[in-house]
Amino acid sequence: MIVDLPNTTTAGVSKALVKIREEGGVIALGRVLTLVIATELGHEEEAIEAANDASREHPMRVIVVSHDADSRAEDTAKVDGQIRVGGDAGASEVVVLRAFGGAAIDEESLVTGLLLPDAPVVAWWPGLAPEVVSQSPIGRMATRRITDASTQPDPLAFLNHLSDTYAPGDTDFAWTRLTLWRAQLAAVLDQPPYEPVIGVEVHGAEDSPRQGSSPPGWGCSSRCR
Amino acid sequence: MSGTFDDDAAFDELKRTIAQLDQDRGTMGNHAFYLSIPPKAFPIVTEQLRRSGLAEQKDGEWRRVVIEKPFGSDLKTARELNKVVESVFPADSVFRIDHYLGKETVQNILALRFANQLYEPIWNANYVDHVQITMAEDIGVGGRAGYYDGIGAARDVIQNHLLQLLALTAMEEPVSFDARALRQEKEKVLSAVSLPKDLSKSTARGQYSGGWQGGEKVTGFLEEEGMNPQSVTETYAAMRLDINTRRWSGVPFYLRAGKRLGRRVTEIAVVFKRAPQYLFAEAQTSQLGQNAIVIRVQPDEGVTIRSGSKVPGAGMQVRDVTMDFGYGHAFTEASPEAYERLILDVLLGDPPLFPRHQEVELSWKILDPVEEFWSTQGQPEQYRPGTWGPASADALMARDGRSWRRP
Repeated sequence: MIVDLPNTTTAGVSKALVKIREEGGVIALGRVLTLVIATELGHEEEAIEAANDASREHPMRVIVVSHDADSRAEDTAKVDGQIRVGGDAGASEVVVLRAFGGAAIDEESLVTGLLLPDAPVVAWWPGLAPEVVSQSPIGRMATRRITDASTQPDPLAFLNHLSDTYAPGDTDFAWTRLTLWRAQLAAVLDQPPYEPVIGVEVHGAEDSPRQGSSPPGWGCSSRCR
Repeated sequence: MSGTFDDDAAFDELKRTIAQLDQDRGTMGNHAFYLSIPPKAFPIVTEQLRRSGLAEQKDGEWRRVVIEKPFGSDLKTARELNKVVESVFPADSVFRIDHYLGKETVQNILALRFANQLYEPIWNANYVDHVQITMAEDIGVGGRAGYYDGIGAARDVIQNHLLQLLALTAMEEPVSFDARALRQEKEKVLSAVSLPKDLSKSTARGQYSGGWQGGEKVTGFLEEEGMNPQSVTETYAAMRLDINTRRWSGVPFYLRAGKRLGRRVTEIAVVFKRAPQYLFAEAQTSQLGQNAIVIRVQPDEGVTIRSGSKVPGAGMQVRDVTMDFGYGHAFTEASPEAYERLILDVLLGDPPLFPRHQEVELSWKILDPVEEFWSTQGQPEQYRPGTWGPASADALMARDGRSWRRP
């Protein structure tokens, strides 16, 4: 079921969620986390699709906040909301907030009223990440913050910046995408006779954050001399 | 019918109309007066009711009066107000309406605690770490600016709604559900409430500023239409209270109420001590919080129990999950509006859900020292609309090694 709420507010969306729950019992409080996706207008669908897949593992409430990166004009301020539940939302419920003009100025207050009680908040920036992830309005309320270096203009510079501004809870997809690679490496190194690693050489595309990020550092943390 | 409060003829006309209704509709001389009037109008209106004979008690008939909050603005004015009302109506005929007590979820506190075996054994300091009672509104003072200035969040809702919720949560089991027994237990627990010594460390207050809230541009409290721009009235109030009984010794009750907060919600959260975790490595339970029972008073009325569960998979990971009871799911029957229920009780003369004057006095005794302290502290701290209040409220909890839940 998809409920469109044009020209609304966070309070309006919140009321609609309670009403849907009362009438249809569709929405349970049994969700274990709130995923906040911050993106740009027009890029909501790809993120929602990925989130719906993920929700089969972790039933959650997904809040997609999208706004135009530049416009902050107060006179054109409005929020278009949409709620998806049931078949249209995987195992989760999806709230889409498209903020225009000045309505996008305070991202935190847009989202706060819709977060699940007590449950942890995970923030995800599928596109451009904020300057300091953990200090951004949405980053501050999240216990886990997910960025994607490969979608930044300069992936490698972003990774360096991320490591400089790292706060517990910061995660980048570059690391997740290395999982198989790391498993291979660990399998090789974790066998007798445990010889010391004396050199590391990494091959790959120069601009790929996967190659540029942590594998050498990670591999070295325990075994390099 | 209309007329001003000082218009004798209007009250005489009211008396004639009511007498006519007695004849036409068979109301048999039973009358309830619902006084939805400003506090300063009480002396004149009650005097008019007395003068015109409307309040005169007769055998076989009843005269009752319903009064709304505020029941005074401190202990002194509450006593004055009470004196005025009780000079005309006997104490048993005065019904102080607190619409929270008419809510199903609030009455359900009694059922949850006393009809079940599951909760009462752990409802004490041995198991409970602390209790949080929250009443948050997402709106501002709006058109009530004139009324609100000088009143503030504590007098407006903590004195009545939140302290009543505290009393129902913390009181001992009454010997019966009749009004006397219930009020006795509430009064007992309210009289055991004490404030911490240092009020600067155990209370917090704030005023909402202007800004964007949930996609809407909102005005700050001081810029509201009709508001005194120098007002030091708080729109957010939080405090720690202790209850000096064996059941609750060492268990703080944290109360907070405010306007322009994250969302509209009223909840009582009983947060339990953490179980000993020696069987689990720290990493296995890092996602496990404290167990809690949350009574959702509004909206989405119901009860949530939060506890830990193993995450499916090869390893032992424990994470918070919730068990959820929702009124809307368990009962399809619509519950009556709080006011409907309460007005019916007035007509039936059934007083358990109405606080009596002693309770009002006791709650002012709790609040008066806080208000006095605040009145010496100047301007309250500003907080952004749509957030969960000022930084000092978070600091209050942090000092005790705790934090506010996100309701």
